[in-house]
Amino acid sequence: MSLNVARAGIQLAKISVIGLGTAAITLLVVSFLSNPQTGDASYWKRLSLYFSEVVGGLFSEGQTRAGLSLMDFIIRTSWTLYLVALSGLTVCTIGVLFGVIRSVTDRRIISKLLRTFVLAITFIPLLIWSNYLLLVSREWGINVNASLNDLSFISYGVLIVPCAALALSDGLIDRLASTVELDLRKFFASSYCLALRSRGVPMVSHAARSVLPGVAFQTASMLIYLLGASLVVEHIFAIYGLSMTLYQAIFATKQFDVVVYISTAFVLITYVLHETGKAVAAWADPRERRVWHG
Amino acid sequence: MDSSRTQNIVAALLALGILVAWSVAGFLISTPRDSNLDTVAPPVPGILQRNLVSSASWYQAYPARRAVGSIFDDVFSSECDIDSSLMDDDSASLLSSIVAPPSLVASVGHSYIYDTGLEWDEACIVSAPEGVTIEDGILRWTPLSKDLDYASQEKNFKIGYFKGDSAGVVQEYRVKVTSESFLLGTDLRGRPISDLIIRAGRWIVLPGLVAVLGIILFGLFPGVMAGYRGGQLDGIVTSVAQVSESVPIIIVLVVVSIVTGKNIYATMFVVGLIMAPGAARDIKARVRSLKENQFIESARELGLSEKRVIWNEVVWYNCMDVITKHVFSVLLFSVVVEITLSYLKVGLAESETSLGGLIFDGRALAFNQGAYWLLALSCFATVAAMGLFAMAGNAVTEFFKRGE
Repeated sequence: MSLNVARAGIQLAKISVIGLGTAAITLLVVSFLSNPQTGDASYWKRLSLYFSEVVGGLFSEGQTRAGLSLMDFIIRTSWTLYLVALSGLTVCTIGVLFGVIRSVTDRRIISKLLRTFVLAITFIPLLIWSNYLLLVSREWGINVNASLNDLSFISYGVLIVPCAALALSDGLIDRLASTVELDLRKFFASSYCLALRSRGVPMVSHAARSVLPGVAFQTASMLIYLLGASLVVEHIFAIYGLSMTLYQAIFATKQFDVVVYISTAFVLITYVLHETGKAVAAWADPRERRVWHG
Repeated sequence: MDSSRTQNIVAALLALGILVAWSVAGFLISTPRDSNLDTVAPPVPGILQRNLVSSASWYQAYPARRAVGSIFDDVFSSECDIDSSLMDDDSASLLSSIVAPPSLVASVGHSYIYDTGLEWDEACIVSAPEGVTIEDGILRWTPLSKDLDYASQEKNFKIGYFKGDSAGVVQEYRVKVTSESFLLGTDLRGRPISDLIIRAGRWIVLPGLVAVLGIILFGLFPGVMAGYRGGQLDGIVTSVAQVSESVPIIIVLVVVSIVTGKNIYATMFVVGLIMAPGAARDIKARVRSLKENQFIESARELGLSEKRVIWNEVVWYNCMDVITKHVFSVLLFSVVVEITLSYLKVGLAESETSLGGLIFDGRALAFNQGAYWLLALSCFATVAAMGLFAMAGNAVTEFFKRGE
């Protein structure tokens, strides 16, 4: 019990250090940039005052100094998370499907063709995919940057094209498909699988369980990558999500308190995704579970 | 050396040779100056021009109409056969003129195609320079030297578009004629795109090499040591790799770029740092799988020093495929980072030419003027650079896969 409490404490310390450290570093960096006379002795004093003001602003006064309320943050976070979740789901669905097809196709030519096709599509960087899909949407009259200030499902519908851009780019599908293919091939070649076959036991659940840890790890790191990449998509499609707010807070409006909140939010989301990936892997794989429990 | 290895090395040398040549040319070529020309279309008939002069997109981009009373004179002096009912007062407002800014530039001796679009029932020439033909809504023109008008360098096209008998519009295009020829056209400021793309090559290889330096310093050495010696270093490499995977890379790089004052080399070094733990983990796994092998024992028995066993027997003969895979991954990723940061206007100084900046300009050109060639060409150049890195990476990795 005490060991578990200690582990929980370590995890909490880890998240606090990463979160607060990132927020503090970001604040310092941005403050340095906005105050060129860093040699000024009163600079650090002003900085500490500013920091206390910033941290307290959102919760004590209900809004940031730039006028963003907590609800604004929640809405913008939901845009980004929706974008990341939908594109992650797309990558997972297509990646797992292609991985399974590639691993069960005996004829190598089909496997090679499929691999080349997926590679060719996903090789194109996010920036190019996003611009291309935006132009195509415009030509087809699909509105992809309609009013994004409410939480209605119709508004969320306009995120399908940005999600597609995010999902198709940077080889994410191919990477996941390769992981699934490798794990499945290992499973099919194992003596455990042969034993199951000889007994006539259905193998689907066993195969799924052997693939799940790899997929969980891959998905967690992929979602973290997508979270960062959402900055590009939000910039191109003019979606006012968390990343775009961060970008504007740094470059346009110089709302440094917003930078601190958002960087902290990013760290928290990242941490949760990472730990969720590990937890799912631990659930599926006893070896991972042993690592999870120490 | 067997034939497949020869093929691999030839492919790698070819791809790397092109990239290095591009990069060197990028350093040698001077910054293209803003010309007194506007946007010049490349002399390639086809889809690029179709979009450039699509009346529909211009109509949407520049919706302001101005009714011109004298337009009727122009219309009736032309070959357009217009229903006289259009002269009625009620329908007169339907016949208006759109002046489509900005001017386009055509090079002498090159053929240009202009698809007027299908949404109109009829498109006909109201007034145009000599030699212009229109057939099935497709306008064709090859400017000749006699079309060069040094006073204004401008030719006016007036095309009448009609939908049934009820609606009509005359659109005016201003086209400048120049004797200069631009193979790939020019950008918004009249700078040749071919020069810009070559110049952007300077940011393809060199920043990537800085990232490679980061991966070698912080990925190769710790990875090899962790795999060979084990112990605490092993745990540290694994933990750091996990932490590095938990970083939203692009956002971190944006912040780093701002902090370093848009220093692309410093940013790329951070790219190397972020990707190093992943490389270290893979190298560690490979070294660990090798260190209990018999050939290591034999090498020791033969009296080879520990250093030589590690770097020669383990790393050089058995880990180079893993190392080159990561090296080329980071080179490939450095291209993605460069274009992304430049597109977001945080990667390089405004005065520098980069592929990301060209994509940004190309997007503006495409959205504002319906001209897609800058966007298409800069995207193509980016994908080509990435493709060459991927090709070289695959070939080198295959070359180093000994005995597999």
